[in-house]
Amino acid sequence: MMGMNRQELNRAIGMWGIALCVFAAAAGWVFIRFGQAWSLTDLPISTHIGYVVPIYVVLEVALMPIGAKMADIHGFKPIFAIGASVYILGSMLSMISPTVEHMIVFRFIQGAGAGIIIGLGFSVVGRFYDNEKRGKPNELMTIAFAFGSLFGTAIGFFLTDNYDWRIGFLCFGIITAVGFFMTWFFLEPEEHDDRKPDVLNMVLTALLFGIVALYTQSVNIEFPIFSWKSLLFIGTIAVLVVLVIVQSKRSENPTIPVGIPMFEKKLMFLMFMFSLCGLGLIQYFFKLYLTYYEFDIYKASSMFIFMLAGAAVTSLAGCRLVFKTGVRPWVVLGGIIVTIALILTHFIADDGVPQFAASVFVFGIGLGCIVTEILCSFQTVVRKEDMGSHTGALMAIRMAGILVGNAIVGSYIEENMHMDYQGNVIHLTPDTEIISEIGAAVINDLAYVVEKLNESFVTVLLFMAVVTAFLAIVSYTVEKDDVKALEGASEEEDGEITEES
Amino acid sequence: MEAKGKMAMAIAFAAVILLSGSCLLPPSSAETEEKGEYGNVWGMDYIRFNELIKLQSERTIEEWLIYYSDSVEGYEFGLAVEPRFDSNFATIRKTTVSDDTIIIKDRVSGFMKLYAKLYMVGNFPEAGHYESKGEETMLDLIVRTLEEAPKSDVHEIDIDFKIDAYVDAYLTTKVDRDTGEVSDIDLQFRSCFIETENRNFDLYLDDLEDGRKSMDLGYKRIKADNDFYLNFDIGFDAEGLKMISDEPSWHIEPKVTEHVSKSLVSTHLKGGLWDRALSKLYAKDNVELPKFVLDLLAQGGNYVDLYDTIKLLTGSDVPDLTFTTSLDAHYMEDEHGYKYTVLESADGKNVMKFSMGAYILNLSHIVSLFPDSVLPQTEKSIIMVIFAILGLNSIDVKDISKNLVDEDRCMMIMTYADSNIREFENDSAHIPTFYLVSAVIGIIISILILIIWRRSP
Repeated sequence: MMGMNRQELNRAIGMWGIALCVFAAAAGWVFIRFGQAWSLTDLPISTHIGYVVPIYVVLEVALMPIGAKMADIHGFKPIFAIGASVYILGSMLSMISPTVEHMIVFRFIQGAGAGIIIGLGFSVVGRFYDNEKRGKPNELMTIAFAFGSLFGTAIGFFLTDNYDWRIGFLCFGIITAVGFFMTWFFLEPEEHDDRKPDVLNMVLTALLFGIVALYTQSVNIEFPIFSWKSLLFIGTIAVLVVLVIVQSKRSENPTIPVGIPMFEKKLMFLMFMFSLCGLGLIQYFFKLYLTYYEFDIYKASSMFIFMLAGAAVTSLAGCRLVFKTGVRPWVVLGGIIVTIALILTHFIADDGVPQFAASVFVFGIGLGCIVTEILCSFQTVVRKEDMGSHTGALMAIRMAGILVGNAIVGSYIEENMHMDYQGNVIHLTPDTEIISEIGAAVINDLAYVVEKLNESFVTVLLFMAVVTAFLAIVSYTVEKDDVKALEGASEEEDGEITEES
Repeated sequence: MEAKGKMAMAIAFAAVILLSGSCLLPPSSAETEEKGEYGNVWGMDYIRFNELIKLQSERTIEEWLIYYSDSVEGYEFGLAVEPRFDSNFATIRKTTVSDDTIIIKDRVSGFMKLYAKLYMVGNFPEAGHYESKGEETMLDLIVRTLEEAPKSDVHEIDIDFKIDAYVDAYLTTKVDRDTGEVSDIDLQFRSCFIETENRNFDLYLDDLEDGRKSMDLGYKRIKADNDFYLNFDIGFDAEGLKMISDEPSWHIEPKVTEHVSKSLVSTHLKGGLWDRALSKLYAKDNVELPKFVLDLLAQGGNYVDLYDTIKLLTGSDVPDLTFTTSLDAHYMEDEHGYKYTVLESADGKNVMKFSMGAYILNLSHIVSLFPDSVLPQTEKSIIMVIFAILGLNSIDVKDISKNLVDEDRCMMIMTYADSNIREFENDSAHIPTFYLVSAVIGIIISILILIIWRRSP
């Protein structure tokens, strides 16, 4: 804040306002997750309660690229107003839901607002800041998103435990309102081009991302991964991908960028894959910690402090230096460190708390080299007027990667859980103490589930380590378009200064 | 051509008439038809309960209190008000038969209510931990402590407690007529237990590891308010559980797999019996997960689906349990003319008697299934004797299809139990005013945001 002029200070306050909204939107997905089995105590019993959490993320992911694209057309502030308004409305309605079914509909609305906010949150940095100044604000948005995603569960559990489940919606609604007003009154207006939106393209894009999210939330729960329903989903996604690409190429104003340079394509691919192999594992890291800490959600969540600390070590430097070095060395380094972290977790995480902390700290160091750096670098080669569509697509792809990673790991664990399981068979005789036998069998089954979960997860880490090692190699082939763009921008600036003088 | 055309038309008309007229045909045998309805009620009140105590022990409760007042020196025991005890249970069975399947639906519902208020006057012993000597029973320990232990300045203690328990269970059994095998069984069980206590002493009785007894005594006002609600839905898939055969006797090796589809538990626990029960549960060597569930339940105000919680935390369902056994089956007919399929173990022990119609319900047999670790043999024997005296070993679940009075009695008890259990189930949400007001303000803010946007230059 020191040394800032008034405009810079106002802009910083505006960014903090957006970060608050991004935090609320990220936390909104998970804060009720572990509470739904016991927190919605005063609602009539419903068989649909399992939809309360996933319905949010389906709309969130679907609307991320849409919100960001609309900002390109109409400007950031109007779309941000819509996103914040929809999120607050969805939160308030969820808070007073009389039934689970009502809540599902209201969470749908809340998720829509969240998707718009998150899509805007990362693209706004590119719109308002020049290249080398994007590091800190992008870092701010990443931290806000990370805090919300990692600690949302613990926050939600705390609120439900000490008050009730409704107050979480109120809190996040208030945070969003405060963030909105900070942004609205401090962030300066910006120009936009009022291009005509391609509604069909937007609908197809939203459908594509929404169905991907829906698939990841349904597989292993509603149907197994190897089933006709699963194949149908995958087929539909494939068809939509083709449709979106073909239609986008024909569109004058596509929602997601097509015909982009290989540099951008590789960064999108790397973002997706690192999200799948890295960020997508976080939910299962959490379950690992839960089983270790006797299902104490606070203690398990506290392990993420080590992850964030590790990420801070590298990303604070990375999001500044990336503008000098380009993204390649950071992503290569990050890939190697994540690989080491995954292998470390496989071998030592079971041994105790310090080992847990060490492995997740190293994991954070690796991730800290990748996520914000890819974002910063990506934005260097994008024109400001297209910042929304490009960044929105990148963030939606990241989120899709996280969800797909979750689903893949979940499928592996589920298959492994049942593969070796012989089933507890109790042979009854007149001397059998039935209730004791059942009690012992249930306890054994629970122990088996916990053991298999951990065993399967640490095994899948090795597979993911192989993939991230491969990604590190792929990262090495990333071109230096970002460095060239920065050099070009710098020469232009120098040219302008020379002209003026 | 014309003749062929007319023939075709005629055939077409005939087909249309046949198809549309099929709705006028009598229903096919695939439709269900009522086969039978059976039921009965049983219960007792305080007077009957006291009579039973006297039969077993030569004295009523009041007489025992007078006896101990006389025999324990320096103390007087009494009832502040006459206790109230009321229990009523009912069972109804409906059997329907379709083309392939016999469906037997059993429902057992009932309630038990107990209220008592006792007082004790005397010079009570000091608070502390006391242990039995030699072969002393728990009663001997209590009496010796009252008489011989150093005295405190407490001269009167009292306790009043109220227990209400309700249960409502449905059991649906399907038997395949072609194979004679039970194809599946579904058990839906709902129960609630409400207990309130108000006493000015804390007495905890326990068994020590060496077989002696112990007693912890304290003096403080304890107000307990506990309720416990359960709602379980368990399905069983059965293979080889043959109940109908053309042979007079046959051998079966059934395999039954259970699957829990609902496991709701709600608790509000504050003081009294539950403090002790919970501390015992915590002390057991369980895996971490049940302790987490215990924590949730102990906090109160939670409505937990146990199996869903486990799935959320671990990402996986709790695996189903499978039961196998080896049994011999044969038919029998009892003195009432009721037909059963009797299942016996290899050593000839009667495991169960299965009937598809009227039957004699034997509650003692259900009690005998409890393991000694849950219900010690001595207590089990006492309960079984009580049930025998009360006639609960032979409850005649008889034909009530033409007896409206008996059917009405059953339904009254069932409706009463069901309505009390429903008070623990939310049919509609109560939204606190604070949240309603907050929601209105929040919605206004969200509209305000849009207005600000629209009005901005």
